[in-house]
Amino acid sequence: MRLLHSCLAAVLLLLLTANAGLAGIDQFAGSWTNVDPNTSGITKLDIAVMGTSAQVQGWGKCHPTDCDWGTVQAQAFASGVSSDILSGANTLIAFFDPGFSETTLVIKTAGNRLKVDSYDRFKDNSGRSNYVASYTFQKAQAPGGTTPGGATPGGQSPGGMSPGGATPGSVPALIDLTGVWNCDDGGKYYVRQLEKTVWWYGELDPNAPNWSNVMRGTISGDIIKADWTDVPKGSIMQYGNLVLQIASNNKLVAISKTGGFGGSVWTR
Amino acid sequence: MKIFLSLATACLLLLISLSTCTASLAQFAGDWSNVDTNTGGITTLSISISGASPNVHAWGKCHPTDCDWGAGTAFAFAPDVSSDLSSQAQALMAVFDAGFSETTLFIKPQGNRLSVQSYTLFKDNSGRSNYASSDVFQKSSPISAAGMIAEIQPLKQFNKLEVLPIMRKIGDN
Repeated sequence: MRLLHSCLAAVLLLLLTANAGLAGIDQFAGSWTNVDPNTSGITKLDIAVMGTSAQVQGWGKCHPTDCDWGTVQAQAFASGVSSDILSGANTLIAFFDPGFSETTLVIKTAGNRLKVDSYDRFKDNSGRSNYVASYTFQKAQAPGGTTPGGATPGGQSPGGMSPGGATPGSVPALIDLTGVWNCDDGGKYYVRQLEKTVWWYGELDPNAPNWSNVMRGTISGDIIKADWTDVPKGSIMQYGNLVLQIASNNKLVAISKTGGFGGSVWTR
Repeated sequence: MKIFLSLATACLLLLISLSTCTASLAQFAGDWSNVDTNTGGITTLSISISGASPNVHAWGKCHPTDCDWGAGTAFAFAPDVSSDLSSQAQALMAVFDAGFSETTLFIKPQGNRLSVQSYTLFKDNSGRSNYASSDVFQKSSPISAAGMIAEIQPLKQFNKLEVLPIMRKIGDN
């Protein structure tokens, strides 16, 4: 009977030790994929842990392949100032700075998954709003993906993923802009996309518009560079350039405008 | 009857308008106290809003009066890149840099309270561990902020953390 008790105690101790081993910075290590395969945000995280130090590599949604944000040193946080980071880390914070924006990832464990809050802040005076998004990640099925530290330095940037910022060279998946769009200038825009070329006719009112304009632009990555001009259905006669970001298949956002163009966000 | 209906409609519209206003950057504004009166961390937050820019002022636990951390560098975050920050802000981030350490607060509304995640990073190679803490704040009656502002930096608060009675006891043993 004593032998049985000793055996049980030993097994219990072993289990406790194993659990304690998992409840530390090591629990963050590995290759993680977003549980939402249709996310337009962060698709994958690779986290490498060495001692009390962690490195995080992120990928954002891009087409045909995801954008590599590169690898950054992350900071680990425990529950108290005298806690052991190695065994007690409960949060990682990783900071990506591609220049025009800053992305701060707050990474926590949630069971055998990771809960990630992403805070994107724009520094380029583009008028885009800082935004926060939450994601859940699970361990990647097979370790065949990119290994931690294997990222190409200078890869594409966090803010460059949809819906955050501009990423010349990457093409958002399944984009067909053809259709009727509404804009925050109160106008209606009739858009046609043929491959990488986009046209529109926009007007404030179908009968007696104050303004009406046409646009022709070229898509490069998730950016449209375009010329626009008013046409004499309306009374205002101006012209200029537009740079639009394809935030999604149903949303366009103006990054820069000249000629006094009023609209900034198009949706459908 | 018509007057009654008109009044009811007006009240409803007012309520809707008020609740819309609540889901905005303005919901963060005000003076907030930690619901845990025995906290050894942040005791008070004073948040003001100017346009789409927040200003976050924090105080940490100190004796005899709380330590004034000053105003951090703060930013608001909306749910989407094209959202209007003033009307749709969902979170604030505020960074307080005391030189030897840096504390980042992530502030989110939680009903009529604020949920605050705090991350303190030590930069002084003191061997102290970076640590995270979580607090809930409720609206407080207006504080006499002018009287509380002092030249004391967060350092004082961390010193305080180090000499908490329980820590002394452990150290003595």
